[in-house]
Amino acid sequence: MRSLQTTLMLWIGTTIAAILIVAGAVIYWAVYRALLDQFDGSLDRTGRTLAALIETDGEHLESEAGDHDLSQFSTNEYPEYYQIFGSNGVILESSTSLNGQTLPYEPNRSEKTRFEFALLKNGHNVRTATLNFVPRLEHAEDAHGAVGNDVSDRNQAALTLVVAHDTTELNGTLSRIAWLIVVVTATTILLGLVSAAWVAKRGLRPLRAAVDDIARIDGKHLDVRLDLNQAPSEVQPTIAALNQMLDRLKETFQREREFSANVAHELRTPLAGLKSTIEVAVSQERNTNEYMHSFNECLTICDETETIIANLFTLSRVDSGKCAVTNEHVVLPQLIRDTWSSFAQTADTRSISLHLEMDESLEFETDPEKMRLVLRNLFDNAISYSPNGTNIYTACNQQADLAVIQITNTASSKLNNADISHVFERFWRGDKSRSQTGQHSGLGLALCRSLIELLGGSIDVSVSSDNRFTASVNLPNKSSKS
Amino acid sequence: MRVLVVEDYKPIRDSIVKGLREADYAVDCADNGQDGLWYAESHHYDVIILDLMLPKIDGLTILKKIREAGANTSVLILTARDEIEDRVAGLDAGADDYLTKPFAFAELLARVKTLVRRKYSAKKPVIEIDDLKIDTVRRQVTRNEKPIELTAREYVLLEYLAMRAGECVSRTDIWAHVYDFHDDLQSNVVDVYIGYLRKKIETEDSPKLIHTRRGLGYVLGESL
Repeated sequence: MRSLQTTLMLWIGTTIAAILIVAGAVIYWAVYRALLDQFDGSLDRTGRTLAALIETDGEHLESEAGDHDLSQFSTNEYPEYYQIFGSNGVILESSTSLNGQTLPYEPNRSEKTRFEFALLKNGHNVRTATLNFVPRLEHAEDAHGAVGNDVSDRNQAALTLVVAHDTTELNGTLSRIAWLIVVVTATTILLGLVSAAWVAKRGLRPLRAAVDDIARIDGKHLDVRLDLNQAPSEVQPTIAALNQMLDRLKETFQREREFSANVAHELRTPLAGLKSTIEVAVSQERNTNEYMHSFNECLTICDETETIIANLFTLSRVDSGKCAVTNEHVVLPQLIRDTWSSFAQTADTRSISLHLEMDESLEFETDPEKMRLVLRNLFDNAISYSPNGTNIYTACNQQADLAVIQITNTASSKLNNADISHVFERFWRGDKSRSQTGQHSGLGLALCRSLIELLGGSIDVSVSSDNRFTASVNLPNKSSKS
Repeated sequence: MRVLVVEDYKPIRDSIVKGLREADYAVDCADNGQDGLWYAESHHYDVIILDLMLPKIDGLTILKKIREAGANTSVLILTARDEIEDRVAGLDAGADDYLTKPFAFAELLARVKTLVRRKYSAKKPVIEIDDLKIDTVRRQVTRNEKPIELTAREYVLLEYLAMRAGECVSRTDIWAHVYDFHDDLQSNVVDVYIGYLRKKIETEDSPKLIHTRRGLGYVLGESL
């Protein structure tokens, strides 16, 4: 893309050039018309004067004026010419300046004088004026004057007079004017371009200043804001938009930083557990049972860490849009039972029982692996935060074109709606109900939401007045859409 | 020496408690902030090992409440957050030391030992009372250059008395700082162990070091 300065300069330059060229052409044309009209007027007058001086005796033509009075027809550097033709085109009389050449003869049928350009044999460019006239009779003028004229007009045949004047002077004047216009136009265009460049550069100075400011901004300097007051009003919306973008970037960076700090915390804690468990175990000789106990503890920590890492990995894949969805026919009640089976033993030992209320025929087109992960997290949450000897209720049925799955458990500690408004935030833990770090790293529900949204559904949580926690999933049927 | 461990992550809590007990500390533990604060307010601890991110009441709040109550217990913060601001916030709130997870247990033990020494104003790791030398790092006791073999309980009792050398230490203090609540002990156990100690460190050709203050307790070395 061409620079804004060049573009501005080119546009301003082209516009000035176009205006000047049109204006120059108009001026030239007007001057040309005026000069030519003047030239033609003078030629016409010469012709008419000449016609008035021509007399005839019936056979010969004679000029009243002597040859010396009509010197412009013989001696001038740019001479005038005349030639008189009879009605049949016969040359009756020529000026001496013609020197044997002929002027173009074309009978003029109108009353008005006709003007034309012509080229003489001697290479001179001339302007011709063609007019009709009736010569006076020589004797009538002597005796009766005006009366004789009338008689001659009636009896004499009309002759054609062609008067010509060299146009070299006229052409010289015209070309001088043309040159003047061209030079003035070219100079103006050039000056226009230079000043356009200067104006563009000066006008773009605030932008360049903003660019310098922007160049200084990186991940560590997101507090820098561009000065809105220094910018001209046209640039202000851009600057404001950039500042808003910086606000958003800063927020995102902040979130990312918090997220990495949380990730570090979540991974350091089990690592610290693993390390101190092993260190204490090997600090002295022990019996096999004690070692076994420590090893089992380490294994549990490894499992928890594995879950955290798997959750983080899935979350980041969903976030980056790399998580592919593979839809299949899924019998939802079947999937719920399957998922529960891996928790059944834990639930049993804690006397927690599952109550199902499901539409057994509910079949949906969705991604079974993603749904399994969601259900696993929801069940895990429900069991972990349920007091021993309580019930978990699971409902699954169709409402309109959505499958609605609800998992309800009794919360082990008092929850309120302000607490649970944060449950979908990553690494948030309902501190009051949190029993330990590790598997319940506060990623479960965040992951559930990301996955459900990936499947086109929604998830919500609520707490009832008798402190029961419910997670509701609304899942669309993917086959109905396609 | 009595230590309180407040840590919500079970594997860390269990291993610290086990490791400290094996190093002959009397240890109590809590898995949440509320219980931790109750322990800290109702008992005298030499050192409290405190996690910052705790359920119910967070570590910094506990620390502030302990300091407001004026307790001179040494507090070691144990946390996974290692940003400078976190450290500063912890130390500002009155923590004596700071250790980030993951940590080496040996280092935790060494820091706890240093905190105990500092609490009793003993800057050097070797405490000398007359010709009695107690090396608190190697846990070796000599009198007049001759080594004395002590059992773990005898050593811990002697070390506690040595830390407060010249002061009158009550039986209740000894009970609270030296013996673990978990051990099933008889009420005269303090007198019994003082007897064992006297037999080992006081021979006929050396002067008496452990003096009995009737009705008050015991003094190691010259009474001030």
